[in-house]
Amino acid sequence: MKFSQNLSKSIKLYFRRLILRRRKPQKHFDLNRKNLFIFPSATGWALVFVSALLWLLGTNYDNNLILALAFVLLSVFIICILHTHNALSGLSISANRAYPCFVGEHGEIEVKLSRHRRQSYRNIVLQWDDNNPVNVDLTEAEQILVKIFVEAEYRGWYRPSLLLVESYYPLGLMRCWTWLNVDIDLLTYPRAVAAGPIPSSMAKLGSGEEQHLLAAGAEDFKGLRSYQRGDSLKHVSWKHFAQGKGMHSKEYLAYSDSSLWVDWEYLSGVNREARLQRLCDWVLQLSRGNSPYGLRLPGQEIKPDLGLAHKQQCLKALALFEFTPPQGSAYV
Amino acid sequence: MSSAEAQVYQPSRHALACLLLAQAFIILPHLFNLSLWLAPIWAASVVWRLQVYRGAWSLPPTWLKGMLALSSAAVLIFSFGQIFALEPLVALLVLAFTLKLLEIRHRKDVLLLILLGFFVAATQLLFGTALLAFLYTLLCFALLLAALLGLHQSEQGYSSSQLSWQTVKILLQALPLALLLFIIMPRMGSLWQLPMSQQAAKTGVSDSMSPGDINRLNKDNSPALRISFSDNKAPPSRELYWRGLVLSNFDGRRWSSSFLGRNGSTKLSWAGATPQSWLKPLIEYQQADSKRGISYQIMMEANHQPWLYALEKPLSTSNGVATTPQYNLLYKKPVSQRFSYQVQSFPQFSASADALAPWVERVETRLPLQTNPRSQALARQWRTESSRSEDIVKQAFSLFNQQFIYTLEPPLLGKQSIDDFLFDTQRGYCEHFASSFVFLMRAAGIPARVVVGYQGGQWNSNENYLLVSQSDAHAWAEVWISGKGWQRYDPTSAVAPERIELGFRSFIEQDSVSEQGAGDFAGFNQGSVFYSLGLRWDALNYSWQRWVLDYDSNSQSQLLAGMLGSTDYWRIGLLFIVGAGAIIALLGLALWWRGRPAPLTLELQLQKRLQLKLNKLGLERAPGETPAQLVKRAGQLHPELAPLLNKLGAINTALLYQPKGNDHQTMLRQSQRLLKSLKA
Repeated sequence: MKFSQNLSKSIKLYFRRLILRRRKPQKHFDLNRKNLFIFPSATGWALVFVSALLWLLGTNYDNNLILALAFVLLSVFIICILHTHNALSGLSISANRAYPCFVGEHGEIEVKLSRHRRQSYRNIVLQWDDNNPVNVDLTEAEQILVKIFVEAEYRGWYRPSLLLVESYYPLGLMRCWTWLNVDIDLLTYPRAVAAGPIPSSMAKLGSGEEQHLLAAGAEDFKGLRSYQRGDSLKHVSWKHFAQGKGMHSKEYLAYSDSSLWVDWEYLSGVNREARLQRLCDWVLQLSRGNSPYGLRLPGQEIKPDLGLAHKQQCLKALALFEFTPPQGSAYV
Repeated sequence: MSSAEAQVYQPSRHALACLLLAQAFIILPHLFNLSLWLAPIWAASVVWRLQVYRGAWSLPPTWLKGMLALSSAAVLIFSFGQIFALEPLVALLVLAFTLKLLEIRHRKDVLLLILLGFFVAATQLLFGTALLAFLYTLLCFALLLAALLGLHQSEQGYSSSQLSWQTVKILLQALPLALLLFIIMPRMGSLWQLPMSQQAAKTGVSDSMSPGDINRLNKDNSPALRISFSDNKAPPSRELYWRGLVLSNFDGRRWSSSFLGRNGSTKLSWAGATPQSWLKPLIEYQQADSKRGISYQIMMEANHQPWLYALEKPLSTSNGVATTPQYNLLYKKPVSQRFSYQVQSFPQFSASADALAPWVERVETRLPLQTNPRSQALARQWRTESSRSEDIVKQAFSLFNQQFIYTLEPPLLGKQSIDDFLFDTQRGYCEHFASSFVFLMRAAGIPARVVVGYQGGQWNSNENYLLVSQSDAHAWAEVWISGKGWQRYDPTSAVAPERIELGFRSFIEQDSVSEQGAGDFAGFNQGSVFYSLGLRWDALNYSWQRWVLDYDSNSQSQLLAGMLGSTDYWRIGLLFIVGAGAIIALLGLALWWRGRPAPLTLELQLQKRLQLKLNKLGLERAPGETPAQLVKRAGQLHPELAPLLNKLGAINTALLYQPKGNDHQTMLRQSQRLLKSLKA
């Protein structure tokens, strides 16, 4: 049982690679005779079997009407070749965009289905890698955006293997399908692995008191900046306030420089991927707070900042750090 | 409810509705063909399934299902009394089809149920092959296909009416190809013996005749034979004596066929085999000049009797038909389905008219001793008056002609039935006349026998065939005239010649011989709307039978030879490939045409032309790029064209995205003009 499953899986993989080698990745596909496959489904073969049984019954009882019914079933089966092929033919599929995710999670890839024909398309099934099928109808609209989930297996630019587009419509007797080598990469961040608190040289977040004390030890006054909500009142330069120059916070160099950096060097002795996974966790931790943070990787540095775009920039840097597409992946 | 049960597959509402409806339609005729026991079992299954669908009940546990299946099967087998006949086997199939409803756990169970449905629906045609039954089965197929379609659409798919329309469309599209297959696929004939139906009620003329038998048939208007003549013309009604059986044994009340009729199997001459020596003169007669004969094809309703009907001196070439030495036709087995056979009759032919073999003569003149003494005395008296058989026949005919009355409501006869009839009641119909006539002949020492069959028929001018009903059943006599052989004499014609000239039905309507007897035909007055509709309906059924049900390997090779010139395999194969290819190509074309690409609007055409020109300039439109962005990029690449391009871009953007205003037409023209001036 297991052996046969493995066998069928490896045969499937072999054929998929064959297709991959033959087809260059594309952004846009027009489904037509040239790239659609069609073959009877299990139900279809079963219907042919019933038709054969009816033929036997009709033949043995010299009953022309039962023979006629056998032929009707067989004809329905044959007609379905046209119908099922038509259920995909004339459809266009193009990669629209990908939504980043973490390794091991499901990323979303958005594709655009559009039709250039008046007929409606029903029950189209789209999926990456035999998983998480999405059923779509394209009846009234000219085009539709569909989000398809795909499980990202490695960090960096993850290339999903092949997009399976299939249809059993209308009667389930035929299966029409195609494998598309879609030219789209999914930005995949490293898997976040809990790395504990950020090493001692960094500030623990949350309590302004402790921050102040730590900062007091490093005492490197940098300058003033205008007060922002959430700044500790202890840092407010009351002297300037009393002079009527508005509220300003004192900034200390050591405070901002040494305490909120997520630094590659903190994790020496750990291998690259494990380091990235932990750095990722810290970035996520810090992004939940409201203090600016920066990222230092060998050869690059991202200045401390706050906000979603900054977080994504940091994560992207982690994702693409020394990224090489793995061998045997969809890159050919 | 356990978690395993919570995961039980539920078909969609439409699919389930179609499936249940299809099941109802499929099972309904089987209730009457097989057993009404199926009804409560089915009803229980449907209720349970609906409750499961509503979430009120869970599926029955395995032990309950097992018990239900076993007990239902036992009830069915018990009610049929046996297993290996057609009915109980089909009933078990229907039972499985019903109970499977309680076992739908996965999607594939529903598929199995639907596929089983196709088979069960087709089995109803084993019990009846009428046109309506076939259409009904097609309806069942459509419902099953609708269930299949409902199963393969997404949740936001069709409504019920769209679903049925889609299915009907697919079915209609499949019919031309099915017709081609029906015409071309070779007919194999039975591959192995299968259990046959038990319901074999023998109908029509039986192999014995006692008073009242034919009268019973005269009230039955169902069709018996349909005959189409090769020249599309029927001989006059008085010639139409469809001989069925010869009855030579008389026990005083009942005429039955003698061993000559039954056990003559060694003397039978089978069609296709070397003819028996006694048949050779007739075959030589046929070969001398076949135009002398009457050629016709008879389609006989199933009567579960082995004998066939034909005009006098028949020769048949149909398989399985034999000729008896009495020039009757026999089939190899009781006719359990409508059966068609080809006959050529030579009424003018007279078989060897030498003396009968002494033992045959003894059989054909034998009478029970000491019955009907008055009749016997009368016959002996005639014998003394004349020695010629024809004179004695004439005597009998003039006797009938004098006082006898033809009536369908004759008085009852006593023990000496011939005496009672001839001398007392003198009222009767064909079987009384035939019976007493043959009795008189035999009493006078002349070999004579009763022949039963049908007389006359109703010409159907819609389809040019003769319809013989059961009510045309008739009995007449054949008398051995030395030098001429067996001659037909119909004593009824002496009493009521119109009965023979007009046919039974017209005769009954013309003058009501018996008011009560005619009552049964009141609804069938000739000329009434119902009567002509009835004829048309019969004509339709006849065509159905002739062109569809009787389409066998013979008619297939005839038809194909007519179309192709010969029936070589390669020609038939070519016909199939060309025909099927044409049908599929046409259908594919029609499907494509229905969904053909929508034409571009004028505005889009202009934009497309602009893009084509820009392509030549080396610019591809990037995905998601607006027309304005595109021309801007083009302007940067070709600064000399920038003003023109910007103008075009602005106009096209306005054309594409702004609501149509008064200046729409001018803008269109402007865009066209600018496009022309853009030299790519």
